[in-house]
Amino acid sequence: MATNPPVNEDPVKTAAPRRPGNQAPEMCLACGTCAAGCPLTGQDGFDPRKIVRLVLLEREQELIASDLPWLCTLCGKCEYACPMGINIVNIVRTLRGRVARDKVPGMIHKGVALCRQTGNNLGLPAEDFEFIITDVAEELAAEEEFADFKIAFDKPEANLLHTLHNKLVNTQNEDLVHWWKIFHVAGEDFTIPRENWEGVNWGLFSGDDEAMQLSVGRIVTHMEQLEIQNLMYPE
Amino acid sequence: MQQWYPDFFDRFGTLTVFDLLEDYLASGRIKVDKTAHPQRALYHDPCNYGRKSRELFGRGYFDQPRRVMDQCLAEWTDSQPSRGNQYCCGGGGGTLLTPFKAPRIHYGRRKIDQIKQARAELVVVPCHSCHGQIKALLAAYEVKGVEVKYLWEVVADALIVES
Amino acid sequence: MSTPNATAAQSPAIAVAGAGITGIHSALALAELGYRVKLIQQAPAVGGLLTQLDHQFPNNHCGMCRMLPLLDRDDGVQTCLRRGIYHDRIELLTAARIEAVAGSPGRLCVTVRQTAPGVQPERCDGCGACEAACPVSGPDDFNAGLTRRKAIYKPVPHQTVRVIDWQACTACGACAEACPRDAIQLEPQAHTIDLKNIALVVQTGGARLYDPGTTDLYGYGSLPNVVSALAFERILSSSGPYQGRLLRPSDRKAVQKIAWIQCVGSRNLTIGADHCARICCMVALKEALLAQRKIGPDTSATIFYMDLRTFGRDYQRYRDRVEAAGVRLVRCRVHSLQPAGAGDDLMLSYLDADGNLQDEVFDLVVLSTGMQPEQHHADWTTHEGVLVVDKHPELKDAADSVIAAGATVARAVKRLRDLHPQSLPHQPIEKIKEIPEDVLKQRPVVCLAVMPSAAGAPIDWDTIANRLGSLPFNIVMEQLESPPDSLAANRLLLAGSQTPAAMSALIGPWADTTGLPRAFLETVSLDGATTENAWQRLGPAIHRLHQRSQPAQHRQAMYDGALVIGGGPAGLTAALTLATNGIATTLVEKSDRLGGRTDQIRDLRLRDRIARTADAVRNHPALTVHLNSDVIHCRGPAGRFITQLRVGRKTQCAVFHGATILATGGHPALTENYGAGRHERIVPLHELTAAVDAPDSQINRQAPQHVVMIQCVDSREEPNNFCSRICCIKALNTALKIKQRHPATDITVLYRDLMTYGRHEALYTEARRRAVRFIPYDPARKPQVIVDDHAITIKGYDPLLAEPVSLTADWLSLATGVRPNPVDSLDALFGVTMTADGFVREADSKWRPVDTGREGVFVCGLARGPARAGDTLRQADAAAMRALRLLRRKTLQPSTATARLRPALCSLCASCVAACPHQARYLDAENRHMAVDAAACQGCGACVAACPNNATVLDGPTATDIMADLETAL
Repeated sequence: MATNPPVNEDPVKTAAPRRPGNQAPEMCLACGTCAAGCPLTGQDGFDPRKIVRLVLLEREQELIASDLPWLCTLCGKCEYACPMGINIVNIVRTLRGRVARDKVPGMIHKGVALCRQTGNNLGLPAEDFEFIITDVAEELAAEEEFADFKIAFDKPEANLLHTLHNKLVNTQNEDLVHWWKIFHVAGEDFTIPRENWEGVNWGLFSGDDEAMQLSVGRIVTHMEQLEIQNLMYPE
Repeated sequence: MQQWYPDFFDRFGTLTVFDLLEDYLASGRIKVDKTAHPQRALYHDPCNYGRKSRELFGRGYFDQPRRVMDQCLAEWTDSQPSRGNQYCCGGGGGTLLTPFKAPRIHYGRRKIDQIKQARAELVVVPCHSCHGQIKALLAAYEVKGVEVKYLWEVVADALIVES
Repeated sequence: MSTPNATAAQSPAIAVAGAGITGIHSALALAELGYRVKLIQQAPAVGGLLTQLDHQFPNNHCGMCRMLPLLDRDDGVQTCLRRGIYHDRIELLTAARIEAVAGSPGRLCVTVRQTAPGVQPERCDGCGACEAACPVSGPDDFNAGLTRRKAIYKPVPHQTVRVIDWQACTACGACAEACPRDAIQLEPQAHTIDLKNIALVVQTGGARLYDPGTTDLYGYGSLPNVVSALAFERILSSSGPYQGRLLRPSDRKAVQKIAWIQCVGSRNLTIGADHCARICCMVALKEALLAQRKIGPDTSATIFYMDLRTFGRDYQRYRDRVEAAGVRLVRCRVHSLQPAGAGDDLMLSYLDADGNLQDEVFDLVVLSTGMQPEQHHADWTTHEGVLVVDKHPELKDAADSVIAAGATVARAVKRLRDLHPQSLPHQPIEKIKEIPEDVLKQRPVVCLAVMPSAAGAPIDWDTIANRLGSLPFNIVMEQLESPPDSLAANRLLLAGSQTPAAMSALIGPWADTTGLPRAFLETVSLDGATTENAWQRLGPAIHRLHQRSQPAQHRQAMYDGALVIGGGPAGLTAALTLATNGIATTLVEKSDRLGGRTDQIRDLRLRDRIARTADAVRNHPALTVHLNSDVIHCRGPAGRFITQLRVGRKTQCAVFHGATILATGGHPALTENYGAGRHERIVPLHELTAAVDAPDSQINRQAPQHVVMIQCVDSREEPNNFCSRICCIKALNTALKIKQRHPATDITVLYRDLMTYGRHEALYTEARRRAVRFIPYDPARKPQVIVDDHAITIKGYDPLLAEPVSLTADWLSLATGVRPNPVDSLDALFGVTMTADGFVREADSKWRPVDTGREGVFVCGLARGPARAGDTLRQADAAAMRALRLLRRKTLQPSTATARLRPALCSLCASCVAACPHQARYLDAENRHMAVDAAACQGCGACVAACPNNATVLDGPTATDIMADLETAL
């Protein structure tokens, strides 16, 4: 039951970055725009308006203990129409960040932890990675049109740094070749890092800013050490 | 990147997938053939490249992929709504990595409705999460005869390779 | 014959910019007060937004004509204001806008840029060949883009003469070629005029509608069945795109399921709209009700809203009526719209009352589009001598527009008196010339004056002249362009090719110049006439004029004073405004002091202003103040009231006055609910407000932890089923003051619909910014207050979280609202009618908001309905201007069409009193007959029809006249 609000040292309502509208969540009109636009409203008790209201009441523990922050796709459709420009997505992301790391559901935090240790969300050793990539590249080179195709790992002074989504390396190898075909025809001078090749940043999902900083830092290091000219943003 | 390495953009060039594809096509480094894709296609705006990119960086990638589509597909259409007010596929925010499959599939009913409404045979996406989620949705809602392709896959499949 | 009044003819004019409702009312009010007006309208037609609306809340009719002058009706043409405005003292410039203002007040020079209509009205007969020939087609703004129109078009459907839209026109010349009367002029497209001798400029309007095409959320512009509220008004209109049938644009399918989306473009910080557009909630309620009535029981009309802002006196009951009629009200702001399936239907998602997401399909969706944010007036409006009606332009309903116009006219009149002490507005306008009685009584000689516009082809005037010779009357025919100095006739028939209304408008000036009584002038429009048509129109008119006798001059002397009942803010303001204009005014106050409830006003500037007004009232030589006094009885017609007062409880006195202003005020209501009286810190809202304003009060000395405010206490439900309009604003102001002093204090407002209408929305925004909490409650589930061991606990329910709420409070305020002051038999004393809640009912809630049904009796302030202090003062000034319009004359001269009694035949049956819709018939006890109140009579003839003895006759066209006309027509 709601009562007069409690005292809280670092409430989510002030901790969540005020983007996109630079408006405090207190500005909420409780008008229902967000909830009416969210396809998830009503599913398992999900309701963005309720989330904002509970955060305003500093009842974030109820949310942190629930699955609700993890049901949200952070798609921002609610914010898009919010007449007050309230930072609903960042509120949810901040809530996710307050969840104890061992309570983060599914593979998200596991991936983040593996990435921190190994440089990719799968925890794949460099030799295995190199083997998979080389294998798929050789398969492509077997096709007549792409006969001389080769992958250059860690090539200094390459034009373009190409990172990879772990799912392509893991289960969907067949989708690795689309870009390679394009690069090949375009005559692109690209390179793939042998280590720290992960192009996906799950810290974004888990609310883990420190993990995000680490991943970004690794890419910067590649660019600096190999003196590569351009970074292709991860897909 | 802006937050942690503010000088990065001065030292290195950065290219999005859209920049690369458009550049290759515009400069003639690659050539494509529309007839490679005779199906009726539907383009899906990923939240991160569209709505959220516009909110965070002031630039939404709405027109670039559409220009690429124009060159690689015989017939394609937009969903309603699209662009800034697009429905997320339901696989964003890492939800694909969580065990909460039922709500994710429930969320995706809007996307399935749009695919059906457009009578699409091919859904084109420039995002790995959307790709995975839309495939899962088509299976869950038992929608047959709809293919899902990456935007760059569409380009790769439409490449004119001079051997 | 009186001497020509040179100063009146040459006195400076007042320019009124904008001919929307505010502009039209300002112009008419100034003209009725005797001033000359230049009315400058940017659009090619008058009326503004309201010309596109056929139905007005609350009676769902138009009624704009109710703004027309009730006195001196002969000075203007009594025609639909949507067709145009015709008054002797108003010069209308359409398609014109002010570019610059120079000079000093009293002698301003106003530069006007006027777009040429492209069609010469005096040549055009409205045949439409030009429009048929025009090859250009574009969206028709009048129908909100639902239809298309040519580049040469009728700006409003009820206008005959077309104009050219120069922006669309390609100057191909097809229209000019097609025109059979050589009326098209493709050059020049515009010209500049310097209006000299302008005393003041009144700037009206300025608010523009929000364009919903600027957002992609609603699909406006791409989904054809998403329309604006204005477009929906056009769909409802019989002159609209579908002839009033409720069809939808995409496929002309009959509409059954309609949704209204409120707050489109309003209450939205992301587009800088920190305002509520004021009018949309009532518009949507009205539109939904009209749709429901039009389609019948199969309609499903749903309004999606946030707060339903029924903040006027009778609005809540209207809402109840609309709900009872089956309109569904859903409290949820709509995110966006999308097509439903492959057809043209629309899908909309919303949260129902239980918090479940619902998808629903509609045939048509109406966007309640508000007002464009950040609007500014043109630079010239800052020039000295320009009076701006609304400093911040905002959309207003008709009543607020009329009141704002009245208050601005009061400012203008005051300014004019300072500038030209001679031009006293209450001086009657003297006739320049009058023809001696004996000349009028001589055998009728009719002068047929042919104006240049009709002098040429296709009418063969020789044939006409021959036929005139065959008539058994004395007729002279002359070609005249303007009124001649002398006339060899005592009847005048003006023939020209202008429209009938434009021709009628000539009667006034021609009568004044020639000195003929108006009854002896007639006009005939030969618009599009052949020789044969012309003869058919001229013949009966000549016949009529010949038959007409001089109307009886039953002028009545006026009492020149005014009586104001009530010495509160409204009464003081009205009394002072009248006295400043030279009206001897008596102010009657029941209590022993002036000022009324000024202590309730928190705005210190206003309070100060009222205190100064009270001082001025005490000391003004034209004012008599009676304290501790009340009214015993009042009798007589407008202009001749005699009121008996009890003064100082003992003595009595009689006041003779021409007009009465009721300003009996109101007071804060008491309640016995929500623990009132059971705890010293459970207080009426106004007491909490007063405590917060007192520097050393308890609440200011000691920071409270929790403050709770309950709104709508005993309000918006029977028996007090109205919104008091002030409480939400007062509550938020108070909450903000508490937060300012004690930022840590937690404040919760329990409300039903937050009534921060118009720019007050910014207060609500600020309150939320300061973390004031808002919990809505349903009247069926009101909060419960528990007082226990000196603790105050409020138990309620939060519908958004769907859970009970329990709040402790150090202070609990109860917004009990406003009640009218009870005045014994106010209705019987003054012949006015009261609302169910004890307020004085206006003559017309939209168009005559400070008039009562009784001519000569006006109302303002809380006696009329709940109002904020600023509104009250504006109403007081508006009421004073309405009274001044009556009091400025020394006699009441009946207009041409006015009922007249033949006393010998009157049997005192009083059938006329019952029949009269204007309360113009009354028993003249002294003379033992049923008299006519000449000021109130509008010449409708209801009493003539009701009188069993033919004792009442109506001057003006007689039955014989009409039969003759009909015969000719057949």
